[in-house]
Amino acid sequence: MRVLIAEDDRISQRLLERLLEYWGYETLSVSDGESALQLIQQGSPPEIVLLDWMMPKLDGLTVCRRIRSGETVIPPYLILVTARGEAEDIVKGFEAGADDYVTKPFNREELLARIKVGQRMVELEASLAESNQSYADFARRMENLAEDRAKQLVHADRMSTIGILAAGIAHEINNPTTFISGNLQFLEDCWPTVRETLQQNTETEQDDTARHQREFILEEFPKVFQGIRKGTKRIRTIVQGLKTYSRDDYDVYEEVDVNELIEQALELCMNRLKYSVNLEKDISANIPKIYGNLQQFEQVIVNFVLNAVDAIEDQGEGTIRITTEHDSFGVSIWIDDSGPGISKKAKEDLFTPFFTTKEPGKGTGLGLSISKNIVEKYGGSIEVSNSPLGGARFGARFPVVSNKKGAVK
Amino acid sequence: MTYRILIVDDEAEIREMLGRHFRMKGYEVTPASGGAEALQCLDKKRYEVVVSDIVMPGMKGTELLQEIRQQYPMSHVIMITGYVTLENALAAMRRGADTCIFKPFEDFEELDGAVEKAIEDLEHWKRKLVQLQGMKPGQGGSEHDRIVE
Repeated sequence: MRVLIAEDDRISQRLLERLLEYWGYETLSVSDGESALQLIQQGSPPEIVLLDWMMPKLDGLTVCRRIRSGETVIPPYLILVTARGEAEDIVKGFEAGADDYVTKPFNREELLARIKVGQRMVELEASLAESNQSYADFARRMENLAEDRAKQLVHADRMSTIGILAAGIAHEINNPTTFISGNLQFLEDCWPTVRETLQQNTETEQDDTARHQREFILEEFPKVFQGIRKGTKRIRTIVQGLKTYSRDDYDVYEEVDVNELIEQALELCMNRLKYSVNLEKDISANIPKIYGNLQQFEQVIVNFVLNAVDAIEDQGEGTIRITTEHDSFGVSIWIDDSGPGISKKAKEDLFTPFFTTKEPGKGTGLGLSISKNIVEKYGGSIEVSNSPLGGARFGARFPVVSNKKGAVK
Repeated sequence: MTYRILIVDDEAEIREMLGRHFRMKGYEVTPASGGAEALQCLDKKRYEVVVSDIVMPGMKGTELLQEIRQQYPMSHVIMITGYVTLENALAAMRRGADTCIFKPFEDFEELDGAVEKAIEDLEHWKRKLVQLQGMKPGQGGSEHDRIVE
């Protein structure tokens, strides 16, 4: 604990220094009010100040006022030292902002007692400040936690709402899509007859405008069919995606061999894999089985692989590496790609339904959110990180059969 | 000969679309908007194939299926559903549908295939019965009358 002695009388200054040092305090001495103020307002001010009332430049009272007026960040404990013992003077000193006072000539025991009070006050304040700080930290942590939870809740709520809506919407869309594609097929079936008639008709047509118009129709109609076909196909893909939100579709659970699962999933992706992808497999043998619905597991793997293929195709060619690992708790399946990777911004929304970085029509934005639902349903987790291959790394971790059998949510 | 198809769906657009398709293929098509109407139609005429939706107001497609299996066992039934659930598929299978086709379908390949298979099956039995007639078995059953006409 450091004590500043602001005293213009040399003898009193020396006396105070000796006494305080004898009592175990560190001392600093100045001979005028201005130097005292400067020292107090610097970075690490002394904790206790003995201020003489009468001093050159700034008197003790003024120093007290300046400190209390808010110019000092950490105000020290101020003890006014004065020869004026009148009650009026004492009140004046307290009003100026002194914490205590000692009258000159001072009694040693009294001085020590008053300095000790000061020390106690300083220590108390310090511990208060510290606990305030820790309360503030705690409050901030709780706030962050609450915010995170709120975000999660909003997300979960959105997911479950989508889940409920999705099943309904999927069914509602089914019928109109069916009669659009059905009617389209009827048109396509009729088209050869219509085309032939129109062609014959065009050949004999005398009027140029009418002929051009017919030629135009002959040329455009197949494209129109194709356009509608594409549209219905896209709707179907979305509906299919939405349907997987309705849980009841999958109630056949079995023990699944992870390596077989991967082979089957790759089989499904073969037509996408054979052109631009160099496929590497690092499969660990004797991997324990996982428990759940095979189609759902397959869906997750196919999803990861097709995402990787999409990422690679944007760049031309590349590598996909599939790795399996296991420990006593679970089985991990990793799919690495050498694509462009995932931006920090995209990472945040990766599992939000309908979020996609793919071109319109290419992705539904449902793949990863469905995959996450599936993996979590089986008590597993999905991890996303950067791949050593340069692109993205997606991992699905499932509990092994012995740990999780029957624990499917 | 012209084969008859009964199309049962509560949605007019689906009935029209399917009807148009099968008429174009040369079938005689009757639309029905629900199970009750379908049973009335079946009571009046013989249909080789019934194509029915599962989820409909009133009588469900699977209930209609059961009725048909009991009353008109020679009619083949093909179920169509937009509610792709295990429950629907199992009900269709257990109650004796030829197949269950899930909506939305991209083209008619599966449906056409199912109808053709049903017709083929009927043709097969028709041939068998003609063969039987040639053998002069002594008596013809009512089922035989229904098929060969």
